[in-house]
Amino acid sequence: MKIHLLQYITRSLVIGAMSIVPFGASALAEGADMTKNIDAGRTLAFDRAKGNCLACHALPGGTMAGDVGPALPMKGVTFQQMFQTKEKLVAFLADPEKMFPYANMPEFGKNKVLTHEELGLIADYLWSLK
Amino acid sequence: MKRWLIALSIAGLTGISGAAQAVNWWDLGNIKVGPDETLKQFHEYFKQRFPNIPLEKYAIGSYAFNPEMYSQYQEAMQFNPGDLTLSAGQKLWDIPFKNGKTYASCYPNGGKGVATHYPYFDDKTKTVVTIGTSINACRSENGEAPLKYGSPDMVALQTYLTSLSNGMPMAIQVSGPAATKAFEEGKAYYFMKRGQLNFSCASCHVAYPGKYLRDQIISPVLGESAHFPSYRAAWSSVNTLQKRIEGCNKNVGAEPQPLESVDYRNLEYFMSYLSNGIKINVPGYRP
Ligand code: HEC
Ligand code: HEC
Repeated sequence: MKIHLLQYITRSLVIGAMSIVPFGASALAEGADMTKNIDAGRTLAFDRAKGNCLACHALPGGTMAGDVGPALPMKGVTFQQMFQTKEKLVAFLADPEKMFPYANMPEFGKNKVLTHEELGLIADYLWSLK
Repeated sequence: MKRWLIALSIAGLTGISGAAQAVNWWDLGNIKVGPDETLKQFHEYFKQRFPNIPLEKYAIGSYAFNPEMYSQYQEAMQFNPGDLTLSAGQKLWDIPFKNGKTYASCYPNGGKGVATHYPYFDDKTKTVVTIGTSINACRSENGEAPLKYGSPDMVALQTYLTSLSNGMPMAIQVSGPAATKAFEEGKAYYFMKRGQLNFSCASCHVAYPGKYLRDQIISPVLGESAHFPSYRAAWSSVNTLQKRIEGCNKNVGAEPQPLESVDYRNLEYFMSYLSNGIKINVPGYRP
């Protein structure tokens, strides 16, 4: 396979930012809605044209993952322990540098790669990982 | 590493930002230390990060991190498709101008060994001269129209002229305040975050060399400039360092600069200086 993947990945991230969000659910949904959110969040996280988290992070069930960032969930710490609330996780994804200086994650929210709602769904998905 | 990340994130989440000191690669971006100190710091940084990679091995870029890929590389190098561009460049090089002179007349030793000193800072014109701009300067001195940067003929000539220094270590010089300023502007560009992904060149090529971005191993900045112009499978052709930089700019959603613009020349000057001591090997070959 001879596609230049980085080009693909990063360009699609940019293109992804321009398309419209198909998901309307809130990050605080319960029960069956929550299962739906988690699935939608996983799809967004894996989608090369959206979160494309696998470019840099291993995630359960993901293939061809990079290792620029830590494998998620990180060994020995749950997302609950690390971020306390889902809102803080969303805030981190939206603007990692604001939470800790010198962060090297893309600023998915601040740079409008993903919407706040999409980040909420991804947070629902991450929150569900054990 | 992991533990550091946790410490950093928890510190960040609780609002203690003092932990930032731990990220020492960032300190390499200080543009006040001058070229000598910069080179020392970079070489020291990479020596600490990768004690098993001697300086000369940076010539092979990301292959230094994957011996298996490297043996594939060596096999490929026996039939480097870039050699076609090299011989096209040699033909062009030997064609005399209308005035009967040749490119060789513009360079000491007919061009042999000169690429080890390129780019250099020209104190008269107060600008960085690259192999590319020197070829066009040679043309205009001889009454010929300039070639378009990025055009196949220009790339072929750049490849041939650079290859006349194959096997010789890069020896870029930065001396005097004006040259130092150009160098530092290149350095600042290298460390400035940009684009929708908000990445600097250094975020990838200083902080994360050896790491996988999907299935690509990120190369360290040291040595990158020593194998350009390079054949790339993804291009199916040979192209220049600046063309590659344009690609990385686009990949993070940043506006690329025109080829041979002041920004790109200063950047190439800075990057090439960091490769001092590493042997030129052109055309390189990359996936
Ligand atoms: C281009 C690289 C890259 C991409 C893409 C990326 N990350 Fe990260 N991520 C990192 C890096 C590097 C870190 C380590 C901390 C830092 O330097 O920002 C990190 C850290 C994290 C952390 C842990 C933060 C901590 O405290 O250490 C989480 C959670 C995370 N990323 C989630 C995601 C999610 C979800 C996505 C996709 C929507 C994503 N990342 C996409 C590079 C990336
Ligand atoms: C998001 C990460 C990322 C950023 C930011 C980035 N690059 Fe790259 N770069 C890569 C990857 C991945 C490759 C392909 C693998 C490799 O390094 O050889 C690459 C390749 C290169 C190469 C070719 C290396 C070789 O040996 O063939 C050069 C030169 C280069 N980048 C320079 C730059 C410069 C200059 C900048 C800033 C303007 C930059 N890069 C920004 C990820 C990045």
